[in-house]
Amino acid sequence: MSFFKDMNLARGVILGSVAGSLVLAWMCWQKSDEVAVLRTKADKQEIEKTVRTLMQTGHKHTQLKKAGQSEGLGAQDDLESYVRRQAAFRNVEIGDVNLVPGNEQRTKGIVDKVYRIKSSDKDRSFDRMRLTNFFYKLEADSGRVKITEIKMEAADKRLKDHETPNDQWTFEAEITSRQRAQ
Amino acid sequence: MARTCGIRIGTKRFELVVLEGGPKKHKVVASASGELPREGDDPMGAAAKIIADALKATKAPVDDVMVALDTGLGAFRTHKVQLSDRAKIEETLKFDVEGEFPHLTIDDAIVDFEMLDSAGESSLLLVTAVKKDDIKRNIDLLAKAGAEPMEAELEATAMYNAAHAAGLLVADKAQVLVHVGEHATCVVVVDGGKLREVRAIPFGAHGAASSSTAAPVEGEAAAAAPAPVDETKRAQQAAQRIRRELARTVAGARTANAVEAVLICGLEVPGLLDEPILDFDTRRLEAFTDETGRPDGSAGEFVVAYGAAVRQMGGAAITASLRREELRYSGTWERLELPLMVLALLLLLGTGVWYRFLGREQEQLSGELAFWRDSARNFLVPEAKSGRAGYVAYPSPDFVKLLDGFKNPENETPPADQLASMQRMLQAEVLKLEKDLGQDAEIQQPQSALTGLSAVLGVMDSEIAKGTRPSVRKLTSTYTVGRGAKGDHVHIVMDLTFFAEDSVTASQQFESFKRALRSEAWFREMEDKQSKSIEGGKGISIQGFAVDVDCSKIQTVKS
Repeated sequence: MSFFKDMNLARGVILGSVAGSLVLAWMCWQKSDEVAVLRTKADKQEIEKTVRTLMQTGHKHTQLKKAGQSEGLGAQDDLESYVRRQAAFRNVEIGDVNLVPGNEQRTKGIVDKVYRIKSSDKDRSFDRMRLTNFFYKLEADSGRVKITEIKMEAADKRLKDHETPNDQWTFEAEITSRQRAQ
Repeated sequence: MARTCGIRIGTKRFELVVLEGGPKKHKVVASASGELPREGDDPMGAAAKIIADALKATKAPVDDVMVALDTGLGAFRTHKVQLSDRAKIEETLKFDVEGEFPHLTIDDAIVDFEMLDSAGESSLLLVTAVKKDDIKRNIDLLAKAGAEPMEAELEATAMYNAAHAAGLLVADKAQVLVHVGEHATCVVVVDGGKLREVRAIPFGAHGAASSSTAAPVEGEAAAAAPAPVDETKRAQQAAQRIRRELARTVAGARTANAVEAVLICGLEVPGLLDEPILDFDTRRLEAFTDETGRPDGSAGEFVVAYGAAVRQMGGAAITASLRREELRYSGTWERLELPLMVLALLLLLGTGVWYRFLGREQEQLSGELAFWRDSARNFLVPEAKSGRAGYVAYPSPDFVKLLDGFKNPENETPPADQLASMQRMLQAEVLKLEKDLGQDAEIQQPQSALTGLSAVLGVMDSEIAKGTRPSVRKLTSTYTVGRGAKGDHVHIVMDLTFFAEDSVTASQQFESFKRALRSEAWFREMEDKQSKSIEGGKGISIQGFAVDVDCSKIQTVKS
């Protein structure tokens, strides 16, 4: 090609400048993309929103930490200890309980940890207030525990339909903690 | 020091001269000449080889070659146009002079011109027309020999340039320059140093031309061999005819200054220089001096090649251009070089400035984001020294480490990405805490049997307020996993007794309880059981009364 065949300073400058311009144009194109992203991020409304979200997340973090500190069922605790602790709680005090564990696969990766709770003395009866306090404490002290079954029956088995029962009950309950499979 | 090469390609032979020096002062450093074969299978290839050998032997600069073609290839006319601008003349001339060259198809010819005179808006031109094919054939020959010429001209202008370079053209005299070729003789009338007229005599040292080809044609069969003629007789005939034609030309020449002499160069024709022509002195055109040096052999033969070399060196008075159409592209390049260079530099400068502006904007935006990042960091974590509580009251060690990392000036992570990193880590910790606390939004917790039972007993409690006296003997509340269209719910079964004045009133109160249940948003369905009067008729008893409750609706209603 005659352009290259008759190379001189002017043509060298043209070639060099065009090549340099192309390189610079490519770099500008890259940088303009970066600047465009920065412009979007540095937009006052956008950055305020980002920082506000960050603060809200921080606030939520604090709340959850506080909630975690008051959680009856600690992350490291097992359910059995938790239930026994609640059974011995003031205004519950239902004595020793039998716990029968069981696991049930709910969906893939999710498992229900189940405990059936009975009084260790099958003939022992309890007043209604103690049982409801027990059920309430089981759920209220942990977000990870749900009572999934309650059976209550008047303790007096010979009670007739027309008779008024005294407030003594036998019970059986089941709690479930649904969690990810380990 | 510049070196140029001038080559004359004739119908049967070539001459070349290599010059070294400058336009004003130069020296002939080499010269060569030879016959061009017109016979054989590949006369063009053979001719190219001969020229290539000559170029090699003379160490000619093959990139700086000018060629002068046989005058017999061209046709000359003087033409007057009502224009003085060369560019405008260039645009229109070819079609203006079409009628003056009836033997040529104008599109197949190169039309060149030299401005002889210009007065006001009109110009007198010496127009030269040459077939493109003839030019191409000669150019191809030289290209094949490895020396494609930069330009091409006819012998006439090369001879004029040679005479001009030798200082033979004086201002107050007129001369007639003659170049004797193989089959054509070129006559140039110069008046006061300026070209006035050009004429081609179709008769040369070897007689009249048998074809217009100036160079052998590739694949062309050997031309019919001329009949053997007595050389002495032919030379006499050539001399006589050329002298006759020269006499006519000189007699017809209209010059302002007296014709000083007839200066002859080219091939030797015995008898041509013996006598004056119309009483005008006839002598050799001595283009070479002691200063320029002389070529080997007969100096007259090399005058045209010398003129071409001088032209290539930049010392020409006339610059004919027979490759004007071919070289228009490169000529355009040369004209555009400077503006293009400026444009390219401006482009480079422009893109450079643009890049700098973008860089500064990036720095500015990064600075703004860094301010927000620092501010966010200060507000997030508590600082014991200043007693400031942060939004994250209990930051994890990893989070503190991350924030401390951002304080490091060597950290090159952009501030916006740092903010995003902070948000990501905090969000991940929040999710982990939610999971630990059973608030994992991705896991749907089972419904509470206690909540469902409380809802039903709550309705019962409101009925008690209306005077109803229910008595629960047995109850079961069970969370049931939904199947199909029936979602998760709590199934409650109770054995009940409704005490009242009589069984009718008790039944009414039981119905009222059921209605109240049905009116609740969380109520799903009810399994009604038969009731029976209790002993004494003071109420009714229901065994296995079942209600399904959707606890998710209870939460919705509560919220």
